[in-house]
Amino acid sequence: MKGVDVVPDDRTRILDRIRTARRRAGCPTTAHPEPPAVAAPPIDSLSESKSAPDRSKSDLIDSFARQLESNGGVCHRATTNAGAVEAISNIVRSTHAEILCRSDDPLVIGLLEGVAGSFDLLGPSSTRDELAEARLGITRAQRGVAEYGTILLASGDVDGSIGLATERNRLAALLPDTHVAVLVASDLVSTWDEALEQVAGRSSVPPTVTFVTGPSRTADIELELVVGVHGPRRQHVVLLEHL
Amino acid sequence: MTTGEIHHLQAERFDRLVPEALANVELRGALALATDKIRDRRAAALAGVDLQSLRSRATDIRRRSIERLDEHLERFERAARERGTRVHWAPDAAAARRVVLDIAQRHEARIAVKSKSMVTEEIGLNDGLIDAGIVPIETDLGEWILQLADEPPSHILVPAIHRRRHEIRAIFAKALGREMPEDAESLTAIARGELRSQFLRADLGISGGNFLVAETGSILLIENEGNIRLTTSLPRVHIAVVGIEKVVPTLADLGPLVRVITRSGTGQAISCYQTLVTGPKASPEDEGPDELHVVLVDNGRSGILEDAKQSETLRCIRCSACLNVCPVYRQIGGHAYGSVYPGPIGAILTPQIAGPGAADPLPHASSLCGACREVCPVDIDIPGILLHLREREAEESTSAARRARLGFGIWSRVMRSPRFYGLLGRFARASLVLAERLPASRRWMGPLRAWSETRGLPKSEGRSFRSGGTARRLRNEGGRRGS
Repeated sequence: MKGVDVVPDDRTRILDRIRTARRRAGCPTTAHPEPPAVAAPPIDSLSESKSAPDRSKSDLIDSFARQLESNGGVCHRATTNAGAVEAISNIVRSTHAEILCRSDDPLVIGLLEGVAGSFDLLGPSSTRDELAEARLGITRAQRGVAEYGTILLASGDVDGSIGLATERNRLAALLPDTHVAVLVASDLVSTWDEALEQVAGRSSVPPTVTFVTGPSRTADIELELVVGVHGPRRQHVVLLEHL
Repeated sequence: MTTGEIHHLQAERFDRLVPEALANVELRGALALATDKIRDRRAAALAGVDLQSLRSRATDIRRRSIERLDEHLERFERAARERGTRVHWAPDAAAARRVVLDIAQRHEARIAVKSKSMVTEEIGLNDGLIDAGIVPIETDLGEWILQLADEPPSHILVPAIHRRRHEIRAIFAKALGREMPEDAESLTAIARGELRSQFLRADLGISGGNFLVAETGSILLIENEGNIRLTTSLPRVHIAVVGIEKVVPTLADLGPLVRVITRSGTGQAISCYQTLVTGPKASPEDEGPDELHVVLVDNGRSGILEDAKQSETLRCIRCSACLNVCPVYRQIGGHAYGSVYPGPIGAILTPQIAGPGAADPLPHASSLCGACREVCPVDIDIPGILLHLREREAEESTSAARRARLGFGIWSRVMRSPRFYGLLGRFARASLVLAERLPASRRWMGPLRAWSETRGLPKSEGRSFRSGGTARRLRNEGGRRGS
C-alpha cells in the first residue's frame, strides 16, 4: 500500500482532540456570505471594464509584457520564429554565457538550432554538477499570467504516468544565473487562478507547479531590495505572439 | 485541554527583557527603519486593490478551513497518499522532531538544507538534528545570517530585522574569516555562493508549508529568494513540517490567499515564486526528490479550537502585518517577547500553545490600540483575544492574579466611599508637592516611578476639585433638578 508510514495512535489522538474541541466550542460563529462559485474578476485588472474571458489576445500580451518588466523581468516580443531566434541570440550574447542548458521541449530545441555562437549546450540528462556550471538555462513556460507577468512551469511527470507529460525544466529554470522562458501567446491567461486551474484543475496536478515572477530577490538586509539571491538573477521571457 | 511547547520559551522574562531592548539604540534604529519601510510598501501595494473584498474572501476561506479542520486534514491525507506522499501526524513537538530524525537517520543524512519555517523553530528541530549529528543549514538569507551569529529570529518574515548592515557585515567577516564588502548586494552575492554548494551536497531538504490543499494533497510554498525551490528540488528527500491549521479546502482557495499574504506582509503584489508540490516525482528520470514527507504538527493547536473566539487565532497566515504596525513591537523588537512568535500574533498564539503560566506577560504587552486587527487580512480579533486571555489569567490562582484581585478590591472599596476617596486625594496632592520640591523622593513612588521618568508630573492645585466653586455649583444644580 502506497504511502503508509503512520503511527495510528498519533493520528487518532489528533483527530479526536480536534473533534472534541469542535464539539465543546459549539456551533461555528456567524457565517460570512459564501464567495461566488465562479472565480472573481482579477483583483488588479488593468482594464476594469473587461472581464477575464473577454480580454483579447493583444490585451493579454500588452499586459503581460508591461507587468513582467515592472516586476524586474525582460520581455522579448517576437512575431516570427526567426525573431525569437534573434532574441535568444541577443540574450546569450549579452550574458556572455559559455555554458548553456536546455529543457527537452521540441520548440525550445528547434529555436536553439538557429542560435549561433560558441557555447556548450547541455541537455536535461546532464548531471547536476554539470548543470550547476551553466550560466544560462532555457526552457518553455506552460502558461503566462497577464496580471503579474508571471510564468508557470510544470514538471515532474516526464512519462505522463499521472496526467499530461511534463517538460524536464525544473533545474534548467532554477540553477543558472539567467533563465530564458519561451512562451507562446496562446498560452497566456488573465489571472493566476486561471493558470492554476488550467494546469492543475482538470484531472490531476503535475508533481511540481512553479509560478515565477521576475528574478529572485530579498530585502533581508535593512529592508533594502537586492535583486538576485538563490534563484536566477535575470528572468527573460521570449513571447511568440504568432503562436 | 492539551497544550504544546515552544522551544527556548522565555516569555516569563518579558518584564526584564523589555528594558534591555529599549536601551539598545541599534535595535531601535533598525526596527524603526524597517517597519516604516514595510508599512509604506504595504500601503502602496494595497492602494489599487479592492481591499475589502480581498480580505473578506481570505477571511472566509480561513474560517471554513478551521471550522472543519478534522475533515480537511483527513481529506488532505487521503489525496496526498494517493500521490505517494508520506503523511505523519505529530501530536507534540517531541513527536515531530522524532519523525524528522527517523527519516533523516534512515537515509543516513549528514547535511540538511532548511528553508525558513516558524514551526520548525517552535519545535526546536535544529537542536534536535544537531544532537543527532546532522548539520542543518538555514538557507533563507536572514536565517542564515542569524545562524552564523547564533541568534534566534526576531520577526516572522524578516528574521534579521534587528540587525544593521554593518553588523551583518561583521557577522559574515567573523564566520567566513575574511574581509567583507559594505553593500547589501555584494553581501547577498557572497551568501549565494556559500550556500549554492550546500544545496548541491545536501542529503535532505526540510521546508515548512504556507498552505496544505485538502482537495489535491498538495503543499504550497511561497518565497522570493529561490532557496525553497532549491531546498525542495535538489536533495533526494524532502520533508515539509507544517502546522495542522495550514490546511485549506481547495486549489481555488489559494489565489486569494497568495494575493493577500505578500501584499500584507512585504508590500509586493505577488512574491517571486510560488511552488505547488503534489507528491514526489512520477518517474526516476524526472528531476526532484524521490521521497516526499509531510509532518502534520498539532503541539497545542487542537486545544485552541475549544473556544470559538480563540479559534480565530488559527486563521493566521503568518503575513506579519500585525508586527509592523504594533506600537509595542516597533519599540522592543521580537527577542523581548522571548518567543518564536513575537508581536501581536505572538502575544495570543504563544500563551495558547504553551498553556497558562508559560507566557502570562505576553497578553499584557499591548495598549489595545487595535492597529493589528485593522491590518489583519483574515480579520483575527487580536485585541478581543488578548482581553480573553487576560481574563483567563485573572481567574487563576497565580500570585500575580491574587495581587491583581487584591489591588482591584482596594480600588473598588476606595471608589465607593467619598471619605476614602477624599483621603486618597489629599495624600496624592501632598505627594505631588513633595515630589516637586524634593525630586529624590520619587524613588519611593513605586510602580509610578517608571511612568514619571519620561513625563512631567502634574501640578497640584492645592485643593480638591470637590471643594471648589464649580463642584459646588454642579451639586446645587443637581439638587434643583432633583432625581
